[in-house]
Amino acid sequence: MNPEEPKDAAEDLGDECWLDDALARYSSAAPRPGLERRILAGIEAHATQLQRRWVYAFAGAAAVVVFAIVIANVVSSRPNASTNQTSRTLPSLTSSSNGEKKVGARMPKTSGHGRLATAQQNVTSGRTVLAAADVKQEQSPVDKPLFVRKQSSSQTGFNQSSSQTRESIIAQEHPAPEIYVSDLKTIQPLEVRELAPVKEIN
Amino acid sequence: MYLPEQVILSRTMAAHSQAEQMEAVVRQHARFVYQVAYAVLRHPQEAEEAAQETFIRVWKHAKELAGILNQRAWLARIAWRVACDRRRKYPAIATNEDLPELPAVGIGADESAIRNQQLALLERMIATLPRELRETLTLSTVEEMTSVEIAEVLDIPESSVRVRLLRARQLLREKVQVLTKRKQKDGVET
Repeated sequence: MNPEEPKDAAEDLGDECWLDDALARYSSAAPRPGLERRILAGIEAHATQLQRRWVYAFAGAAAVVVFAIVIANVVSSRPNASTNQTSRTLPSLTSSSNGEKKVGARMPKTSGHGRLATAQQNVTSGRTVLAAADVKQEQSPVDKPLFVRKQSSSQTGFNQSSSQTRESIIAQEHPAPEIYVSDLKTIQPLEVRELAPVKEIN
Repeated sequence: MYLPEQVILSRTMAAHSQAEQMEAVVRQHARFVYQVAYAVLRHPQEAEEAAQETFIRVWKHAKELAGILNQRAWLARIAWRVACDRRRKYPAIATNEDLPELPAVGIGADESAIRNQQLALLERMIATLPRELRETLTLSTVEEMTSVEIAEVLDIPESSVRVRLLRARQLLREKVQVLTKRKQKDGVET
């Protein structure tokens, strides 16, 4: 028997005991007193925080919904306003008494009948009132509209009768507005002056 | 909306009983949960916070609490996971060595110093073990934790727990023997 064997066994036993003792104390840490109370308080605080978070979330969602409703109302009311505006600005189709359709902006009521009345007054006062067709025939080349003048100047070489027929067709298609000589006389010619060059201040 | 009195009463009682149940669980297992967390984190403050987090998680699943057969193992598993997560998040957790030691009550200064040295040595030796062995051994050191509970926490068979524990203890014993022999050798030389 080896004399060192019991010694080794004792050492092993000692090491084993040391290990057991150390392992037993390894995780035997005692918490600070009142751990349960702190944990319960923590849970309660967490619960209230969660509840508050829900309240905030609900309030936020409600605010978003209200905002969305307001935006939707604003957006839905805007197209109506724009359509109203366009109906006001767009020219209206009016049918005249003789069946022709005229396109033009709505004028004040007095304009049509008023002009008729003034024309009648003019006739009675002895002043010469010319119908639009008469004016077109008797007008001097200066009084004619620019496009008519151009046409007439360019068509001098062509057949006179063909130009007349074309004019009559155009006149039928686009009846010229009633123009009064008295109205034309009131128009003052514009004086165009050449602007003086801007002097430098410095 | 009108609720019948019985429904209101039953709801109130259920909420009340749930709170009571939760309080009972906290009072019964708080210390155990703390020790599981401490076994992983090795820091009192961190272990307490981990225990707190564990019970908050339990509170979130308070309805399931009544249906759980082994509450200890269930709690240990949650605490283990929480502690492991915390250790992963904050790897540089201060150890006990960083904190001032309070004098132990009832034991002498020499004995206290020896015990602290012993613990520090054991910690260092456990740290050198492979992860599977280390985890199993750490959980086995927690007070009254059975191999069945350890198996449930680590999600491994109980036989594996026993094998791992044996292997871990064997390795530790070898390390202790090496240290003892080295000490004896140093004593003979001096």
